[in-house]
Amino acid sequence: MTDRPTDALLRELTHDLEPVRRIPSLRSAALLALVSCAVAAGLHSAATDRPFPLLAAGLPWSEGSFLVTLGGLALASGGALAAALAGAVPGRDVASRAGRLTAAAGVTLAVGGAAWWLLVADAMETSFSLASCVGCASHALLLALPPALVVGLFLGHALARRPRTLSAFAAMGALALGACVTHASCTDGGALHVALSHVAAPLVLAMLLALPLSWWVRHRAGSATDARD
Amino acid sequence: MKESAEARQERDDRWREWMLAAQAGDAASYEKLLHELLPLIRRFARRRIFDPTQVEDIVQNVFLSLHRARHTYRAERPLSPWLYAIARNAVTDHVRARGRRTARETSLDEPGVPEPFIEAATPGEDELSPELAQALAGLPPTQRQAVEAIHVEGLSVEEAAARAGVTRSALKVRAHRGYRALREKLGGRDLD
Repeated sequence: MTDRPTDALLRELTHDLEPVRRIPSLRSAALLALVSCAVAAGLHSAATDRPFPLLAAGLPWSEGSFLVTLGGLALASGGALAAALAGAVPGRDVASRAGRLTAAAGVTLAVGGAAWWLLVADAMETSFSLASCVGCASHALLLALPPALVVGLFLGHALARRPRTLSAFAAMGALALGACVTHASCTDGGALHVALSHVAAPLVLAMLLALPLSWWVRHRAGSATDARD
Repeated sequence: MKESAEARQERDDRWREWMLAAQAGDAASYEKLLHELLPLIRRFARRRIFDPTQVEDIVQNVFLSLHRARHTYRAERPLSPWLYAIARNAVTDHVRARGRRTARETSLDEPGVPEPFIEAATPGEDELSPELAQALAGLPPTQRQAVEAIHVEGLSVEEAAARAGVTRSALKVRAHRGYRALREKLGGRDLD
């Protein structure tokens, strides 16, 4: 049993109370993450010959597998980012759980869409290019970095209680967002290309990104605690 | 008597106002809020922890967590879910930590277990026992420095805070946590 009266603790906490900077709303943080990705995509399109997402000629809009993969990546992104942001704020358990379920559904759809594409693809597909694969995977990663940074800043500021888990969701959400934009701007219709560079590679890259993101979030949380206290 | 919905709404509005004021640095509002929350948090802890000797520890943990996380409360949301989430997390953390400690602890009631402080060869000077030194070394750096500064070196809170480059309030929170962690490691012995 403690030997320090709780009243004494409460007096200490109220003594020398300093103002704090509130965290932004979840909506603002999510919007900023999306906008940062869109800006990165726009800048990349302007600087290279990669078409702007959704506007590229030759996107297979009539293909169900394309749409399912696109929808799955979008859901995975939205769900994982919601899970990361809501998980950092006490009392947002419902939103966090909904985000996790949505992310799981999104990943299932994205993998299912890629698998469907592989099943219906021409067995003698010869258009597979490793360079093109690496290009798309790199593009997804590049677009993922700004939203990952935004969410990481939020997690660090919020002193997230489970930084490793939430950083993993943040990385997954950011990579899924990057992959979704990549998928919506890639005119390489090869099934193997889509499966590897639009779905598989981003999932692997998300696991890799989670490690430095988690370290950075914990480092920022430590600095924020010192500054706040 | 069960609280009416109106009374509950009024209470939530009052707490919201006080919390917003506290976020802006209003200590008087913060004090009113914490004292009004105290019986609520105690009841919450008593319903979840069977051992009454641990209830106050959990209550203090809840208030420490609330203090650290006060910047995460937003006015457009009600305060109660935010508060109870912090309280639930504190109970969960306490139960988990207790489970881990129980597996490692040796009771200090057993014969032959040494005192935390031992007498040095020179009267008037006490040295740290190996057990206390080891327990101190296991603390997070900020807590260890705070405990060492106040309880080992004998600095005042102001001196220790100035040396650490933090506010008095921050240093007190660190020292309190470090002190409690040491007591838990050493089985509740008085370290003063």
